[in-house]
Amino acid sequence: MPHSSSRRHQVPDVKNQVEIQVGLVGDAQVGKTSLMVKYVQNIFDEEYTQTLGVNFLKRKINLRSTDIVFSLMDLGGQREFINMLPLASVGSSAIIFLFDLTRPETLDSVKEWYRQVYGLNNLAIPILVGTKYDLFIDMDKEYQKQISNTVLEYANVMNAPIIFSSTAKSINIQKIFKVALSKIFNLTLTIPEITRTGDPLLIYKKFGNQDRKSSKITTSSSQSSSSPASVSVSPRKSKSTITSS
Amino acid sequence: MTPNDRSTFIKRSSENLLSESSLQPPQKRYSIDLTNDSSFLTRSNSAPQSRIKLSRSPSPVRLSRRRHPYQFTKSDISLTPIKGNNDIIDLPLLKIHTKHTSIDNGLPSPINSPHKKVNNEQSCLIINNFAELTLLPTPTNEACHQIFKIPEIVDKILMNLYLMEVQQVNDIERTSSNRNGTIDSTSRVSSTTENSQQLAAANVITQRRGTLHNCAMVNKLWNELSMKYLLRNLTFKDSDKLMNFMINSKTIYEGTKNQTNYPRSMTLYKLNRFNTEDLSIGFGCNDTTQDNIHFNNLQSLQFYICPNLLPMDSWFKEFKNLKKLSLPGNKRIDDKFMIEISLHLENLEHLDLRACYNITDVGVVSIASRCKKLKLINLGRHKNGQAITDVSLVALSKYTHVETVGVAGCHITDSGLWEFTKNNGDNVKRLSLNNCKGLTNMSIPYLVSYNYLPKLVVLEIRDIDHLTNVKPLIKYKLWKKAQNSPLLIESCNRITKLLSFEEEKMKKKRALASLREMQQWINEDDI
Ligand SMILES: Nc1nc2c(ncn2[C@@H]2O[C@H](COP(=O)(O)OP(=O)(O)OP(=O)(O)O)[C@@H](O)[C@H]2O)c(=O)[nH]1
Ligand SMILES: [Mg+2]
Repeated sequence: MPHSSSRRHQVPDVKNQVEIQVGLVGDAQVGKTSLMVKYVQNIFDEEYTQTLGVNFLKRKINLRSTDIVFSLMDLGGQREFINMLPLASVGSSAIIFLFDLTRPETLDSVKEWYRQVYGLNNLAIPILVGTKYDLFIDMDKEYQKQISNTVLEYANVMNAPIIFSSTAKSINIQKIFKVALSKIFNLTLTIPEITRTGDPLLIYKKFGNQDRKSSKITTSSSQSSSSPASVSVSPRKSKSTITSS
Repeated sequence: MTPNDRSTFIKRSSENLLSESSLQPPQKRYSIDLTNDSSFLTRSNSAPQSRIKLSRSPSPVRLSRRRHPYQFTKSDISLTPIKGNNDIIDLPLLKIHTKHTSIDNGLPSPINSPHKKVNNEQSCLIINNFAELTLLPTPTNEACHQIFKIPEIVDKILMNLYLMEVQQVNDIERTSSNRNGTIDSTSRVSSTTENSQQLAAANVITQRRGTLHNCAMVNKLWNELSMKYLLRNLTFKDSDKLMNFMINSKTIYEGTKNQTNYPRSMTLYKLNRFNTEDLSIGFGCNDTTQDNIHFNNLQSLQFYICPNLLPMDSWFKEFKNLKKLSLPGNKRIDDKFMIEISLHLENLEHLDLRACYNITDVGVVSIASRCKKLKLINLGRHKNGQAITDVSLVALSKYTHVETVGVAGCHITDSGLWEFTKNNGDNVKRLSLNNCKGLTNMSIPYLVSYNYLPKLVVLEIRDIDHLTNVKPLIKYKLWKKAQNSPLLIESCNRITKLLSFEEEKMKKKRALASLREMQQWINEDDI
């Protein structure tokens, strides 16, 4: 009998399921697919394979009573795939804007990417990620400084946390998604920021914070004083909610 | 021909034939006419009665006149009355449409030059050209395609219709049960909704207005063959018609020659004043030679709102194939009856005895011990609840693998429910414990939280006053949902409130726990 084994034991608690969709956008060859594959499968490939359309991968993180599921949507950076942008942005709780730290023109394009995404989803948390830090670090100090300043300006306008990362050398990869999660749920992140020019920047405290009103983690007393404060948890975007399943 | 085409065809033609009332000497020669007169509908509604009449005077129904020309467009075989004054044109034709031609639409045939304008003369020509395609140009009243005179073919058609109708009834039953929120209305076990349930079920049955009825009126052959199928499922909601049927049952079943046509299901509905004694008039008064009708094939016997009607003793011994017995709200049925009938019900699967107040543990035990295949039993009641106790429940669990149990309003206690679950918990899918005042927090909450009822899909727990600990139920419900086998809990206001309060509380608690865990995780060092 298949069920007799579960007989003696009490029915276990059901795990909460927290699903979060994250979109990855940016110019061709900036390293979107590499970042996604690194985060999900911990693999890095030197070779470039152009993404045609949208790639999709999931990573599940098992916590004691909760499963966090990151659904990553990676959109090919070639202009011809722009009509598929809704797939990556609609329903996403955070959008990661990637640019290549060694190619300033890709940072310039972030403006356009941001404009397009904002038109489709103005609630998602934007995160600004500079890639290939391992190559960037060997470049001219003056160039590094100039880029860092420009990035800071962008971040201010977009209200987006800044992270410099290297997929090749595994720098700041996990942090990108932890920052995203902390911003989505208004969680307190205590990892120290990295702000010195030339270091792999990690600036998140003053950017991407939701104002108290739009916060989805609400604590409010309901009508009757006897019932406890009602707390509901759901990330900013529709697709990501904590559900029991 | 698709089954649809076929059924429209048959329906149309039979509707027509009903218009015989206005039979006049034909002035011209006609084919099977294909009219669409709504006045026929009323007549075909009274089909069960006409059916009996027909069987008594089995002279072939004559074909009637044409009223309006009607042409099938979709079927490949069609009857085509052709307009025109010409004698030849007036000939009714049954032709087979080829891919390229249809005479009536005035399009040139492949034989005629496409350039010529088609006029009356030419259409004569066309007809002549197609003379060899005409299968049945006989100008008699009985003009009809040969194919419809071949018993084997007609039988196939009718059998398909029969199967379609059976399917249809099943579908309706299924959809109406979905509306009720529970999985299966026939297995629905609540006794509080007793009446509406019965009505719904009865409606399903009475709403059938079968095409088969119409087929029975086409001609002698069709009548004979469709009766065979019609007689398989008997439904009566009118005592006169039932009486009529009983009186004629001998003739009717003789007419259909072999015994395979004895009823498979019999449903009587709303015969409030009809008594068992009345049944004996038709169904063999001296039961040794009860030759009129036999129930060897009967699989389903249902009496709805027939409080004074019981199946006759003489039928019992033929109930070997009976699978479903529904006698809700029956006043006459008692333990003695149950004991006697149980001897013959070795194949019974479905037993509905809602609101049969005279049945006690004694009757249930005899059923339980003899009907090993029982899958559903409903004993729900509002009165005389003390007559059904743990004894019934335990007997059912010991002798059967029953899946659906309704003991609403019965005197069930915690220990009875434990014992029942211990023996048969693995099989239970639906359980109605509404109004079981003897139950407390000592059974249901534990049974679910330890998954003693692993297959449970519907649990009815209305008005169990002493049930207050509902937290395990919510936990169980969420767990079942996560296992992809959701549980439906039907409860009263009080319990529903408790449940939703508990669910809210649990969700909040979990949401907070999730947030705490996530916060901890994001601050951990990366591996
Ligand atoms: N050195 C170095 N190379 C990287 C890094 N990330 C990506 N690359 C390389 O950059 C190239 C492009 O990476 P992809 O991830 O395919 O770029 P993409 O953004 O997905 O490009 P499209 O699919 O065309 O939009 C590949 O050859 C990668 O190996 C990095 O952190 N450091
Ligand atoms: Mg790519």
